[in-house]
Amino acid sequence: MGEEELHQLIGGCIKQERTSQKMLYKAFYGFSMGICLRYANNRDEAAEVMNQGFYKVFTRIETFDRTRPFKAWLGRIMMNVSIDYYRANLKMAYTDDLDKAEHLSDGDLTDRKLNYDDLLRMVQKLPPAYRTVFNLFAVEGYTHEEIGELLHISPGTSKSNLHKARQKLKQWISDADSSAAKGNFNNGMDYSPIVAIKKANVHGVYFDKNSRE
Amino acid sequence: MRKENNEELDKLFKMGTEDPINEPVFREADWDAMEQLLDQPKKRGGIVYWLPRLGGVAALMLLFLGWLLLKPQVVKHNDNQQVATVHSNPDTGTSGGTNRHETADSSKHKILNPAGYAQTAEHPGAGKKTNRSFPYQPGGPAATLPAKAPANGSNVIANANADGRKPTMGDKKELGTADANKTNSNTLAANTTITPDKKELGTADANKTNSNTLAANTTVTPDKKELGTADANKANGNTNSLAANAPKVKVKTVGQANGTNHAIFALSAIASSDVNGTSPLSSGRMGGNFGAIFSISSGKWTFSTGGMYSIKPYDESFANYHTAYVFQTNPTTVGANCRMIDIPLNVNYQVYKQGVNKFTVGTGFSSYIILREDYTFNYANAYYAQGPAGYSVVNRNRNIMSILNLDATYERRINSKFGVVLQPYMKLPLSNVGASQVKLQSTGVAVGLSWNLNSVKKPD
Repeated sequence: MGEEELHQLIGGCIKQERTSQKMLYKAFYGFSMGICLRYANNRDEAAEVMNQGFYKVFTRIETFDRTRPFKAWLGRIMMNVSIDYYRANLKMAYTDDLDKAEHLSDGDLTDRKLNYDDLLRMVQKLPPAYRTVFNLFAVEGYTHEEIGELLHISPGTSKSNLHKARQKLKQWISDADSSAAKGNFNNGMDYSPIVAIKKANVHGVYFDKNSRE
Repeated sequence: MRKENNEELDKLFKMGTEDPINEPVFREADWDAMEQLLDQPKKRGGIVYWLPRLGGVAALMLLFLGWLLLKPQVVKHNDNQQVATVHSNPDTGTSGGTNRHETADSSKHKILNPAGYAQTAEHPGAGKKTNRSFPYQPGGPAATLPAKAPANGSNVIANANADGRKPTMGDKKELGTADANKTNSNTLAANTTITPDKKELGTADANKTNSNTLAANTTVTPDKKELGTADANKANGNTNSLAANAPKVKVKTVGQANGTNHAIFALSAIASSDVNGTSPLSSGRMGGNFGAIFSISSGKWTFSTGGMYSIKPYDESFANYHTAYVFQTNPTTVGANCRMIDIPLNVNYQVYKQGVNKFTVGTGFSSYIILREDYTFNYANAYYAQGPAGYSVVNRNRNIMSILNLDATYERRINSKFGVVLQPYMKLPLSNVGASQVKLQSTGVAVGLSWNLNSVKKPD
């Protein structure tokens, strides 16, 4: 979408034109949903959170500074809404989703590489408290002090949750790699890539020994 | 090594989940849900605008009601009041009045002191033992009360007969009635006018709370005796002075058993809505309170305390928000929500009471035990904002006796045990409140149900 078209849509949204609102919604649906999916447990939950975010966008769009990138502003709103949703459901913050763990290890990854969906599923499998901290630190780039202010936790708790999140992700990647190796379609080759990225990018990351070059 | 592993892992997921190629596909159902959200009607905030004004109107109505009911009214018998109606001559020993009957001796007539009265040989009561348990007023014209003479000039007598019979006079007798009724006070005057051959007596009593005093003047002509006896009658601590064998004057005082007032203990369940904010309350937010109040009432004074659970949301400018945290981007406003225990210590004074209705005004101090404070930071532009969305403080702050309470209370008794209460109030901070250290004000109206724990029945 071009800059001019975007500004026209924003102008229409300021006038609360439903057509402009829908076009803007569709244009940034994927980007917004991708952010919310990292914080939510599943697609439906992410959609609900995303719609809350878009509601704020449409009701506050007149405050948007058009000299700034719209995508960054939108992304910020989506992140804040996701955090608000997490804080509203704190009682489930440390619950492990065992169903997803079973689902993942049973065979989703036995015959294919880890891709976006796999990584996303791993992140969604994390307990919400670990997942949120991991997203904010690893993906968004916040410090532990800032995460503490956002989530109303201490920096120490943020560090602890991040460490636990990483441990779980590593374990799942290792499990996924083991599953892939068992059903190795390369017929005995001593390694197979488990994610669709270059080996150089994962140098140093712990994997099962058989996967190393 | 481990740190590098962690960084690589973070990068793995960052790149993997932010890849635009893998963005989710649009679903029409999600847009339908979005449309429903956009079509929802906006919530009205009018109640926030009207509540402080309605509270002010309620307070003014209470004040008007109190003024209306406090206007001078025709004296009437009341179970809570002592009433004595006597007929008195306004002339005797007073500044005068109509139907003055004066004799050459009237100017010399003075109210005898008790000793003199008792020693008056011709006084019918002189030789009798009188039961006087109350002090006499010093004699003098000041003891008389304003009295009005009967319209027809005939004798109208009540409660002024030493032997229970209407006093008779040779020719004329002027009597006037004097009524004075105040809460718990009686004024009794018994005057008997006497023809030129007779002496005028005038008695007037000023009664204070739970006591009557009667000064009896008796002057006696060589032929006749006028009596204005004063007897002290004790009845459960109440003292009335009347002419001997005079018709009884009822004295009833609620809560009076042995000459003292009983304290009444009461427990009230209170709920209220109020508007909270910093000064001024133009952008206040509505909160709620509920709890119990214990009170002790003695006479016109009521002392109360208790505990109220309060939810106080408010908005404030970031300029008024105090924090040690250094924001990269300052928020414009801060939304706050405080939950606390409010412990009031109030004193109320009864300005009016009639029948089942009572009106009091009061003041006092409250202490806030703040259980939780939640703050939300609102930025002017989310793009610029590099800072926290909110902050919470749990069970940290206290404000002991630093909130000033002002209230006006209307209470209507349902029966001797229960009553309903309506109370507009204001809470003004004397110090900063909470972690944000703001001057948090509250204005609202409380309603409640009160239960007298030890209601006292009226003595017969």
